[in-house]
Amino acid sequence: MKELLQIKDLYVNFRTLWGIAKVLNGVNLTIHKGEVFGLVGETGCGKSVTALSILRLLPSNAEVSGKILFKGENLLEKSEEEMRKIRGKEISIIFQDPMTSLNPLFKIKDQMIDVIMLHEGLEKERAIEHAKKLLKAVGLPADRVLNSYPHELSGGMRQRVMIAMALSSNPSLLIADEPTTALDVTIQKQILELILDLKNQYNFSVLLITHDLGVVAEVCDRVGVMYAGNIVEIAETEELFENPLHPYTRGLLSVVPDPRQKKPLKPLRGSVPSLINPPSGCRFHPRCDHMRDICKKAKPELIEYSPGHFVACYLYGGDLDD
Amino acid sequence: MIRVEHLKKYFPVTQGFLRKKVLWLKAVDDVSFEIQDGETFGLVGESGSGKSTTGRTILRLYEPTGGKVYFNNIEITALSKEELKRIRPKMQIIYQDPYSSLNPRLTIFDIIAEPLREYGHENIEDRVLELLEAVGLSEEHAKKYPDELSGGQCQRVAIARALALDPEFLVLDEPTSALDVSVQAQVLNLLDSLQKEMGLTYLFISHDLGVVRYLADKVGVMYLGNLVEMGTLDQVFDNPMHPYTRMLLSSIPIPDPKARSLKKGVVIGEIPSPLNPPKGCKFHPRCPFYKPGVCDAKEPEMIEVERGHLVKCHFAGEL
Amino acid sequence: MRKEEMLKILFRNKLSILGLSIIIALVLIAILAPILAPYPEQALGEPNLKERLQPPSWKHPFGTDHLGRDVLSRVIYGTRTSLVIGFSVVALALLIGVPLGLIAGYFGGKMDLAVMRITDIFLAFPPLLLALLIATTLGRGMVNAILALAISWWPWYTRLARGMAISVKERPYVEAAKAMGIADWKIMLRHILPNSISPVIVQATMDMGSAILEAAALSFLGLGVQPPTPDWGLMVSEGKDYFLNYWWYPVFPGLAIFITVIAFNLLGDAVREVIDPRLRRRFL
Repeated sequence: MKELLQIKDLYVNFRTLWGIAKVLNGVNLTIHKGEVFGLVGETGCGKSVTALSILRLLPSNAEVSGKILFKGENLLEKSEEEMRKIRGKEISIIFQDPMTSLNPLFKIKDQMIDVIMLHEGLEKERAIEHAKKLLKAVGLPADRVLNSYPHELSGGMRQRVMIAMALSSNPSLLIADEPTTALDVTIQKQILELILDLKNQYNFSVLLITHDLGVVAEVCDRVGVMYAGNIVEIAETEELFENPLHPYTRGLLSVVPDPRQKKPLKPLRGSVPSLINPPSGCRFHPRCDHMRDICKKAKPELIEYSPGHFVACYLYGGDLDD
Repeated sequence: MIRVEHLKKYFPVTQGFLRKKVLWLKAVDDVSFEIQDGETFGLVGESGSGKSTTGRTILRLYEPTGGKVYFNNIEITALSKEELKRIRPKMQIIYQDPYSSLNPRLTIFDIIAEPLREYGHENIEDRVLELLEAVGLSEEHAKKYPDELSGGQCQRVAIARALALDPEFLVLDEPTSALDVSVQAQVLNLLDSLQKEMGLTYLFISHDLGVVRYLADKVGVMYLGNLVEMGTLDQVFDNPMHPYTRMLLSSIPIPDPKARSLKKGVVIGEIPSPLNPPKGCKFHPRCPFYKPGVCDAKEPEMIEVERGHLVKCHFAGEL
Repeated sequence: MRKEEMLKILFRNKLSILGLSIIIALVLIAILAPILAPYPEQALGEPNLKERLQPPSWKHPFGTDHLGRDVLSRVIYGTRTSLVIGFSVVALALLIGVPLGLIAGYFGGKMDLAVMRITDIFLAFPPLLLALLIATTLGRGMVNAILALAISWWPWYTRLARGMAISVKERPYVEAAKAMGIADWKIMLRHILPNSISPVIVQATMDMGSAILEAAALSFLGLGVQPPTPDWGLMVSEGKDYFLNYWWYPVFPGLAIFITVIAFNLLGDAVREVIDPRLRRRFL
């Protein structure tokens, strides 16, 4: 498989009133062509910041370093002008709440056509044709939806409109940031199925950001687990669920309630640390049952423990004392 | 402990300058069920199903439009305001958003002490510390304000406050939906152990069937203000009879890639507006077994298909 | 919120510091007026006809007025009048307006309807016109001017407090209090009031400036503070006839009004930044 996107040693700091928040602490990951890559983690782990860094949409109080290679070119070195061409055309993003990206005062038609005309350079008539085709592809009644205002549509329909707009210029990467978190489960099922169908049809890659391990298990090819600004484990989905290596991944998997059977939940100790004053070394060490001295001293690197299965933990080597 | 009979809660929908009533929103429409002492009844459903309204109406935080609610054989729905106040300590509620359920301007101590003061308890300080300990917090948290605590800690405070007056019955309205999974597990375990220690009875409202499977003994499934299926945990989860329950169960993402559901397209359509629900069986436009002339003509009765397993479907037990 | 954070936010903005410093300076000037003013007896009205309408000099840095009184001394003493008027008007309006707004918002229904219709009537008049009307009815003088302004002012706070109460009463912690059987008045006092008051405080801070300005306008029209009390509005009014030849007479008190109003507005902005929770959580 070929790499589409490679993130190398990505660090992001936010200057805040209370000090510098070290939100990303050297993130490394690769997304291949045509795959669905899931980025999973709890609130504040940095998964959304990773997505926004790719599109260079971070707020002005952020300091970014590292490399984000998209089709071999470093996005962090692009000019704002060049980025504008990449956003929406090469890389599209959909968010949890479609209402934040749709203007409530304009009909869907006006908003979609603006985007299509801008990116594709089509004239109005052709743009409307294109919009109709896209809306049909996401399973919406095109004519009715085009003439609706955002509030006249249900949450599921709005998310479909967002997907249609994201696909308007045939991107090679779709970033979906918690796309179904605000939706009911039956609607979530429809939207996830739709994203997979469209992926196979249009052949783009998906970076799916979610907190829901159920969603990951249902749709992702590979998964990266994030904790407090670090990727702690990357593996193919089945491998990760069957053979989790990192203590955090194991903990996470043991607290997900399973609707098929009642099982005891073994919660992790403590809670997510502050990123302004994060724990030294491995940021998970205060909550870890396998903590050793080295864990407090230096951050473990992400190593390939078995083919395709990466983990950042001294339990699996990298310990200088061994 | 709790008996709900034909409970109805309609909200008027007004329109225009003169606030003319144009419609009734039937949030809860003829719902009946019982909760036994020490049991957890899980109420599941999607948005607009009326599950939260049911919980609030049982506590008379909303005045019911019709029907009766009994608590230990006292008809709550017939009590005067003063009588209701006397019984309030026995029935409490926990909310979804831990931050907005605590007054941001009060310290944790004052939040937990408020109900104790209202009912003239003595030794308030000792009691607050005892409650904090019971929910896994300590004295140092007492002086803090809600925004200095994490979401999970705030939810523990809300639980401590609800327990302050020694309740017998708790409505848990999506108590873990706003929390991360690892914290959710801590709070679920806490609720579970408190129930065992104090003999509490729970009405557990949730859209997350995994969580319901973990905590509930019996389950009711709601759709557009109706209870469409009810039974023990195993009856409803392992042998769902209502087509909606089946659709719901097959939509839940299962945290196991090997169980990846092969069946696609099991979900038909979207939930209609509760303002203008379909005639007959409210689920018929989305039902794969829809029979014209039957399902869209008459509202089905709740039928007991096996002991304790009730289904509101014309073809219950036949599908 | 912790106090250090409040101060941190307050001191982040240079304009806030400026506003706050000016207000502190004004309060100090008002308190220390007898010490600061070079001619306290003139400030209180004693004529000094030998030195009528002198231009600014070392002896009289702001010049003298038509009765030969030291303008600097009168401006310094005027600070007292202005601050007392500004504070009293706003405090009185808050005292009437906020409780009514909270009751209307919390209980709703007929109570709400009645209160809001009354505020509508008051708000239908231009505030200065209403104050003029009241001042004319009650008679001239500082106390009546304060009453008149407060009466034309409270409906704004009622509206603001009502809107906040309506949104706060929907919060789960209020419902939780009801579920615990807490009495309505305690819910209002403990839960609704503290969580509704922030925007009212912001508005009230800014309004201090406007109240001083409107009181000055009443004085200017002869309906407010009466001579010989030292008052900026009155000084501008008296000085306007001399403006062309003796500019210092109306200009210095005018400048004092201008600076005070701006300082209160800056402070209002600063207070908003400190107490608005949305601004607080902005970085997280």
